[in-house]
Amino acid sequence: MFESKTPTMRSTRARRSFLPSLSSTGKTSLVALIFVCALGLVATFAPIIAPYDPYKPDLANVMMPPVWFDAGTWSHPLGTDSLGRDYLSRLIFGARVSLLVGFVATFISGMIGTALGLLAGYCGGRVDATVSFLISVRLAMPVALAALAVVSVAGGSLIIIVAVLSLLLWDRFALVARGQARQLRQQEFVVAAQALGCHPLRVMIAEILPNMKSALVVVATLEVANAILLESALSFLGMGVKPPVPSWGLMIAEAKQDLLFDSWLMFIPGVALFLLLLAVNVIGDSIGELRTQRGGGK
Amino acid sequence: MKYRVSTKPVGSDWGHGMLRYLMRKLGLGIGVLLCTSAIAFFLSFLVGDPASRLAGESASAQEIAQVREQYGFDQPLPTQYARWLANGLAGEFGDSLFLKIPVTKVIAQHLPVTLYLASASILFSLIFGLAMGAIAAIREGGAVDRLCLFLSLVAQATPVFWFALIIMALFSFGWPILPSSGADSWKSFVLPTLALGFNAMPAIIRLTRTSLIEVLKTDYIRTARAKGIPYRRVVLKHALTNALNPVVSVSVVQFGYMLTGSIVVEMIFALHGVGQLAWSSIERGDIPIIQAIILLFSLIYVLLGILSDIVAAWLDPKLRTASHV
Repeated sequence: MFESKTPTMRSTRARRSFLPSLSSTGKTSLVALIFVCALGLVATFAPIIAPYDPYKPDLANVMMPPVWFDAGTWSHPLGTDSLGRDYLSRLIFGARVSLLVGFVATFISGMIGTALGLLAGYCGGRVDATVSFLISVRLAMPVALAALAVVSVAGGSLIIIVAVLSLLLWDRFALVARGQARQLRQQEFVVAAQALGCHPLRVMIAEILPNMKSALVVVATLEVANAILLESALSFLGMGVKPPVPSWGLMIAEAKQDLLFDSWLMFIPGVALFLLLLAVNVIGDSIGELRTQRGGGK
Repeated sequence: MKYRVSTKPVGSDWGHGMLRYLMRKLGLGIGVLLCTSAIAFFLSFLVGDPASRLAGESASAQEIAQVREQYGFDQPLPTQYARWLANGLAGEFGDSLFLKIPVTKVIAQHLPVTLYLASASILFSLIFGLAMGAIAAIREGGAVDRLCLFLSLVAQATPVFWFALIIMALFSFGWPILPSSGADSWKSFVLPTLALGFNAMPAIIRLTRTSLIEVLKTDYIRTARAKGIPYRRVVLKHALTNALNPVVSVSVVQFGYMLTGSIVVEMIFALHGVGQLAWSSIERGDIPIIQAIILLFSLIYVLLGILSDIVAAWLDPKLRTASHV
């Protein structure tokens, strides 16, 4: 009941009909990759790049519209919010939160999930049953609710959110690692390593783990998107990063009250979030596709 | 008893293997529920001291101690957990700390809205997801296929709360044809359903597509085509029923996600469902309600999992006799 029945995008047959569109897929994912890297650079050097201090209110210039409106000026390209803070600067600093949470939480949960799945798939038996049970329990827990509850207790700081998401998002890593390890366990090179008397830990880390790398990378991209989405939703609900720290989800929440007259306030951070998630998903899809093409059958 | 009732209409060709398999899943489900209930119980004690919440802000230390003793909050946590679980099995979760009425009553008041919303949303995403996935699979590699894939990519990258605000701005403020809040008529459910359903659609589109593409390449489809059965009939009758299996299990999981996804949507559209109740209870530190909701959601998830196994076996006769899957 809890085993993942989701078939991955694998297709064992040659995709003749897909080959012509492959170059365009490649181009799209290249654009996506460049976008994410550029955003990463902007986030890293946010204090240098951002034109204003994202925290500094300027009550003389409140709710200035972005430059494409008639009243907009180039001094504040994306306008200012209800406290007169420069929206572009807040957007740039907000990228830090999204990217940091997305990548760090995925990295930690990836380690947890991979370790559990690897152990379960390689050892089998009781270990497998225990880990599978743990995965079932984790899947039956409502993630958003659990995260909300913990964050409301521990307070919404970046570290708490990363920790909570890390402890909640390891299930898919565990499922995939387990399935891969079960398959790889029977391969000749693993049996050979065992026959040579290698320690099980060595077999797992040096023989099996490198061979499931690409499958894990696909999961990781999906989880980065998932973590970014969850952080923004938590911040939107007021249980994430606390104001005045700029997070895109929080910016959307703050813009909610001005939805009627100044919907651009809600629109801009949403577009940023959407583009980042789109880029991450495109990258994940094309890695998955590349994998099935190179790997062919099993 | 439960599994027997549900398996009855399917007939007598169910092997003992399937029955044993379902029994094992049921046992596993109970184990999972025990664990989630324990986590829910201990987790919610982190939210705050229930005794001081109950006694009120102006209560003295002595009054708090009295409340603590009265409600049994002074006993060790495992004892409290055992008592809570025993009461919970009898459908008794105590009173809400904030609303001062039984938790079961509060949840019963809020559950219908969430169930309507989640059912309507899953129906919406199934109708559009299946149709688009099927069309994409038939025209694999074509323009329609790429359009469907693009749409599912866009839907996947759109945060629920942002999409909800956009359609609210469009259809409640910009062109006011639908209400932005409340639950007075079916109209109030249109926008929330759209928001939640749009979110669940990409998974269904993609899965229907890949699954149907695989099925369309099998020998029996070629045989059916060779017999001269019209293509439309082959796809609808032969291929789609076989491609449906993974879609069923995923839509069941999606339904479970929707229960939690409805927190955000109910908040935005001011619907008084379980999601909104959960959020406000967390804010108020209303422990009995938080515990009961977490338990309720995982119970629904476990039951849906068993249901999807039964449906999967009903769709695919091969699974019925398999002793282990």
